[in-house]
Amino acid sequence: MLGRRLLLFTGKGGVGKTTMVASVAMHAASLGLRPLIVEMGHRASMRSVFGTDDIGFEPREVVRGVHAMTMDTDRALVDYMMQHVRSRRLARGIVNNQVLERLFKAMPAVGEIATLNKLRQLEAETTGGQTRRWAPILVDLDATGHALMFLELRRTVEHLMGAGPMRHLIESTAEMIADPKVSQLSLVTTPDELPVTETIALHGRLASGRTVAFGPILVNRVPTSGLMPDAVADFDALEEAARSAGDDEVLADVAFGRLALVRQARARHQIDRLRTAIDLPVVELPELPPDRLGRTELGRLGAGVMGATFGGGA
Amino acid sequence: MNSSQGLGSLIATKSLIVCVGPGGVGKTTIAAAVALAGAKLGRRTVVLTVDPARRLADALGLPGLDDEIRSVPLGKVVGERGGLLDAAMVDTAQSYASLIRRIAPDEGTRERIVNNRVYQAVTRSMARSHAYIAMERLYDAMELRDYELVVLDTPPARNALDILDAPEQLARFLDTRFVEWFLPGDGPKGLRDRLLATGGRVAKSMLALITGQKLLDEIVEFLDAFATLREGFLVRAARTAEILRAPTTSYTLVSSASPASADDAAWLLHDLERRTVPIAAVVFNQSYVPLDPRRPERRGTPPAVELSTEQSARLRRGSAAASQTLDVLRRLRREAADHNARLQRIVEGMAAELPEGCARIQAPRFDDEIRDLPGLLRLANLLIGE
Repeated sequence: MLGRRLLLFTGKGGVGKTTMVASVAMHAASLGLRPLIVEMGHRASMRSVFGTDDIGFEPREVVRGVHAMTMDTDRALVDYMMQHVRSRRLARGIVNNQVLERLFKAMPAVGEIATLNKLRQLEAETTGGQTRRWAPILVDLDATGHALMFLELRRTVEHLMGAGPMRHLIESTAEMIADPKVSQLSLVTTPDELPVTETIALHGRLASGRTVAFGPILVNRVPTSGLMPDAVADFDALEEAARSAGDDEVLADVAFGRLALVRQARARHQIDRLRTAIDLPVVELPELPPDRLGRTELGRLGAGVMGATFGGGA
Repeated sequence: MNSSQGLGSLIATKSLIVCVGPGGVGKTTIAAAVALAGAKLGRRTVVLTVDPARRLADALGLPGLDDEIRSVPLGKVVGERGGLLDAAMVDTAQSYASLIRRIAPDEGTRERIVNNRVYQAVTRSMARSHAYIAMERLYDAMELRDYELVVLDTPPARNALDILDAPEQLARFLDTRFVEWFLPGDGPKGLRDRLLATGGRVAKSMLALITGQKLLDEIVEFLDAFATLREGFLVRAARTAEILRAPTTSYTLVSSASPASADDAAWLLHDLERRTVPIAAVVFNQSYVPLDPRRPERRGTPPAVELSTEQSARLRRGSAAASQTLDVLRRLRREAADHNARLQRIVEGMAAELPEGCARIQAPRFDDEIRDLPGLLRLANLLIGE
């Protein structure tokens, strides 16, 4: 997978995308690559994972070998204008132009177009010679709605844009994203109803349009108690004994165990739904403690995700 | 921190409760529970959600949640106080369609608008369009219908506060002078207008250069078709802006206890503060795992299994397998207690940052069990401290 330059991640809010992205980046860095994490919008998630100060528009090293930046639409827009007017002052002037400013603030596609352009710039950046400055670029696409807007931009603006630089940018970026040798989208979910439903819907919509190549589905926070479904017989025996002995604590143990089994069964059911609906490999990742993960743990998680996700000599 | 500082008084007195928070923390479920609590307290309540949650529709006893406002069959659940609960899920495209149908003065205008490509692009894309339409739905619920309490669910963290910006952005977009830059009309009057008009010309030629003339033509067409509706939009936007800032409106932050949502929540709090929007309550959802499902409030560490007592010995005599299972179960519960202690540290860290007088409620991780009205009512009761 490490030949792929653009790794996109999406999934419903709260499924643990950011941790996933961070862990893959850590692993890439440990292999001597030059990963850049691009976080969309002003969320604090990446900062939280790495325990650093603000991550801004300029890429900065957040841990050894891993750079990160936050996409800032206004700044990206200035960069975009720069390419067309070649004077930063004029570009700023245009962005600060009251008419355009209002239009940009009200027109939803503009921010996405500027963002695409910035991604193109980052992707093409070199360190002087032939070496790309950033590879892979990992994009944390935030919620699935945002991902759709982003990945379907070509379709959204298809009838809206006449020939021109903007149209050209959208077309060429869409091609880059659709090229399976360059880009891959990982759908991240938890084994819960709503995230799974959203994942299935998103996949269906994108797969029909051949918008992007998919990596395996990453199912985060799969409950693992170690209890097998046949433990129910033991539960019954324990419950009976506890009742006659009046041991309330054991009754609580059994109630807890029953609930754990129910949760496991529900998670299993959701994972089965995914497997039935989507013909892609599924990678299950266990629930981790609620603290901030240390670098070692992140690296290990990343190795797990990458090994399972992109292994096989790809 | 406990439910003695519950949401009861907010739910009983406010006209609008806006729920904001990071994604994946059960915000929509909390919004529904807040609304149910409102109905239970005897108020005519509606909840406007953003998530098409099948489970929530089931929990509310509805065939589905969609754009249309439906009445939740409460039966005996809320008692005799005469409250009612309605619910809808705001679907951006659907809501726009019915809005335009409602306000267009004639069929021709309606056709022109819905067939305009700028309009289609705007309503098809997510974040900002959602905020505009949420604003319209809010106006509709607050001003045109007979509700005493409206509970508004918002998109996750990053876009949660878009609704606060939406009225002004829309007003600015539909501003007469702005529209005149694009539409032919009377020439500008004063110096300022002339200067702005120059800006408009520069903008127009710049835009044409980048996007092509086509988009520009569509924008002009859109604004032209929209001209007759503009006044109404501006009036509603102004009123919604007032509602969002009214003292009868209250903002509730919903967060879970994971470090990532804690940081997102902190960002939201900061952003609300920057806008001088006071936060009235924080719900720490999924902030502990009940150690005894029969008594969800219990959080203390269970004792280790005592091998020496006669009771345990008798339990263990039953079968070796059951005895091993008991060890596994007790270990799981002790691990859960440890997990809870870590979550509690995160919650307390967040709580320390909250302003004085802000209500704090902790809810256990039981929302995956909320599959019917009694389940949702359990959460509602917890929120109002009953």
